[in-house]
Amino acid sequence: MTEQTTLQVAVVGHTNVGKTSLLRTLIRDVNFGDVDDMPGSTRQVQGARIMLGTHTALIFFDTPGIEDSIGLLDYLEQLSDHAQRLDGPDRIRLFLDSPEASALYEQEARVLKKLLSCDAGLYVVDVREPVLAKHRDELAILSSCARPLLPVLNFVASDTARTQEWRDALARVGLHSALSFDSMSPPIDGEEKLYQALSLFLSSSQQLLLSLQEQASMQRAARHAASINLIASMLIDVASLRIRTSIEADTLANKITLQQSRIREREQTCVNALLNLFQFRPDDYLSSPLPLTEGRWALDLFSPQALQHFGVHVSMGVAAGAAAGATVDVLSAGLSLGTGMAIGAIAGGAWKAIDRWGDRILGQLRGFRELTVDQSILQLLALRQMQLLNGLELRGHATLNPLRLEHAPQLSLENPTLIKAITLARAHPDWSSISDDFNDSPARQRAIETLAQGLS
Amino acid sequence: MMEKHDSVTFNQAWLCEVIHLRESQWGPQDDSKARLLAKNERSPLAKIIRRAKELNQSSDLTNALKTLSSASWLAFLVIFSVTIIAGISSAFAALGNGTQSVNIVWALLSLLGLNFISLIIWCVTLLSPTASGGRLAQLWPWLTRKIARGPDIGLAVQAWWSVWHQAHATRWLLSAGTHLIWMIFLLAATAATLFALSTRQYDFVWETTVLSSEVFVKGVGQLAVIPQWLGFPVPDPELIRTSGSVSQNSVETSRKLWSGWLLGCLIVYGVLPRFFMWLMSTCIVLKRRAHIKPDLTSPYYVAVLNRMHPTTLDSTDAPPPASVFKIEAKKSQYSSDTFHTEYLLIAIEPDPQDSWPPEGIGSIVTCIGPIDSRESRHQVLGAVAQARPKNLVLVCDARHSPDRGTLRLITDLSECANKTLIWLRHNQASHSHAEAWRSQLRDLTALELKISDDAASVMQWFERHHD
Repeated sequence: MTEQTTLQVAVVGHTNVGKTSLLRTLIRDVNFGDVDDMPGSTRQVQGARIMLGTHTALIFFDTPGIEDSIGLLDYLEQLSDHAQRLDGPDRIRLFLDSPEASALYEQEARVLKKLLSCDAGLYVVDVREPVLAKHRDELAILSSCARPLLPVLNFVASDTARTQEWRDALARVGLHSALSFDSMSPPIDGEEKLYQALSLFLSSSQQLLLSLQEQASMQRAARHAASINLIASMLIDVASLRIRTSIEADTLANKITLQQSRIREREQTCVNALLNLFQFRPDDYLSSPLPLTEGRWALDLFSPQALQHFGVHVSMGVAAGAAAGATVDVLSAGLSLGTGMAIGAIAGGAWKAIDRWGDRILGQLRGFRELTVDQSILQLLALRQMQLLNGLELRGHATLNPLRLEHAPQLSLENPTLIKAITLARAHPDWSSISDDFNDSPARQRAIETLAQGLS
Repeated sequence: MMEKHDSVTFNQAWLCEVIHLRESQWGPQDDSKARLLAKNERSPLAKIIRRAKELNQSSDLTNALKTLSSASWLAFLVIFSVTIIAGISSAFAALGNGTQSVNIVWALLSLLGLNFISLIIWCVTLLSPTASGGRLAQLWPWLTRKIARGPDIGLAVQAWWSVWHQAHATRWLLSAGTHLIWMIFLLAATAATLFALSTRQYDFVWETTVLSSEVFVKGVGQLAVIPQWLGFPVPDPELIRTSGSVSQNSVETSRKLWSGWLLGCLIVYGVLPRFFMWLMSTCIVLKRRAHIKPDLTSPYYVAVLNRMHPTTLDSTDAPPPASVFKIEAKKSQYSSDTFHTEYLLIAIEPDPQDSWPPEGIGSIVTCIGPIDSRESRHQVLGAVAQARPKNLVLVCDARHSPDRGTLRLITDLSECANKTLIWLRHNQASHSHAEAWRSQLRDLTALELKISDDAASVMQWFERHHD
């Protein structure tokens, strides 16, 4: 293999501009480093590796922030007065051997030492701040290290961003291409863009960076597909759930509670699975921009407000406002569908139908009824999970402040493929993994696949 | 180099899938021990398999898988016996008890008719991409599920189907099962027919009301073409014609010829097509099964492997001494009568878009600066040391993060003054670092700095300290 090299990239910049946040988002690890709205959260150099298969292809080094660039530049000039005609890196090395490198400018020395030993640097800037003298001096010092620097414009999504001002300032010191990467709401293909931008600087490692870029985009697609699959199987599980009940008020109320709690649990399982897939810790979502509080949806699935919030068209029973309204609707949906489907299945003459439907028709004759979930609830479930997925894909791993998703994504379950899959699922009570007689079958797997295709 | 093609047994893939489904539904399991053991395996695939195996051993999954396997054997035995009984009884039903002569057309149709129709249906559904492969074969998993009861059984079944589904082999698996059941049925029927023909005497006839006898002669002859290749006897046209009436049909050779023809048809049109279809489906299943392995590019396995090799590397450099972050500050050493200027206001690194001097500051206040470059920093430091202000206000922008450079400057400046106030402008901005400023300024204990939020309170502070 020729590609056994490991690329080393230092992440440098002024203090508190979000270097660690950027890395958290890049390596999708919420545990990396400390993120805090305080200068100097990072005090030691810390590496994070990116694997390409089994090989460590790239190591990003998180460095402490540069805090006193003006003082340091003064000191550098003072040092080189003694030793004339030194080039940039030699001046830096002279500084690293000086007494202040382990005292006054200890943190800055760590940064410069790391940058000197790396193949390239990512210079992170907070574009919400104006370009100040200290930033200019910082750039002057960093460029003395003679390492390729790729400016990364953080917080470009902010409405107070001064992106152009920064681009101009960077161009003045010869840094003409800068990558916009908001670590709080990163571009969906941010990782790929970063590797692409790096490959322009590091021509000798172009192949490696290209492979990393491909890997990142493949993983992104795989993550999306896996999420859609999770949502689809949740929808199938909920749509196919049937709970038999008698029509006595007490039993009915109990069964409705049972049904709702199972569906709520199933939705939560899906939420957890999605968070897990995107590698967020359970205690992270407290401060997340996701429309969750403590990892749960704030609005209960069966509350009329939730339906209203997501603009789901509801039948009259639900719109009346009480949970009891929803249940009447739920019940009738189950009944009409049940009988219709039963006749169809028996006409089909499949042997399985006799086992399944025979029992159910007998039950109906004996006065039992079946609860199924209302279509509007299914629609709400689909919308919420798709919105969550959307939020997860666009969310950095370092986000500290909540962000409201203003508009619910427009997803309609009117899509014929979806309706077909849902209707099919309604006719198969054994497809529901939250039901007591769950039994997976190839047909269920196919239905999930079809539904997933319809959703994506 | 690439590792040698890792071979994964079906059971290993199944086990991995069970763990995968469980973890993706209910969150990651505690795998600290399993992870440690798996880490020593060489290839990523071996690591995944080892981890699944260890996790499986530490939970009660093994029991679920065992129950399921024994249940599936039991289910197979039940289906097998029922099929054999069905085959035998259909043969005896077709031939009767020997007291009546056998209508060869009826006998053949009752033995092969249903089989033939279902075979045609199977061939037609082969064209559809979403065909299931056969409902008959689903009897087996259905029965298995009825027999096996217990925790995790549902999950194990789900994983079993999921593995086959990922290999795109479900349809062929079900096809193979369907063909196998039919083949057993037909073999049993053929064997029973042979037994009945060996131990009883049957007379074979054909009857018709509207068709001519030529139709039968032709039909029987054509059906016999393929069995003839395989050495089965063929009734000649004369014999066929004579079999039309019961009275003439008692010749020994005619019985033998007809039974040979019937057996030939059963084998050639019943057993053999099912056998070849079964063989084909099984070959496809085996071929696809050889490629079954956990998809290591899926996000789940990427995350599992990442956990075994943490992305975060241990920090190699020593933590910095606390003295690095301590900014030495001394109380102003000048006695109170040596202060030359009453009120001085300096802006540190103001936003160029802000007005200077700031609005709301009275004309009695001397404004110098702002400090916006290295040069002006030196100039202002010199000027302040000269001016020795009694009351100094330093204007900082709360939107910029505080840093050691700025704090050192604040320290240097306030050492020249009697009293210093820090005015944090823009501390209500959306990305203000006011909290960080307050906490960092609090740490400069020697200076006893006051912090103010707006111009009005700055002016009040000036008035309060006016003697």
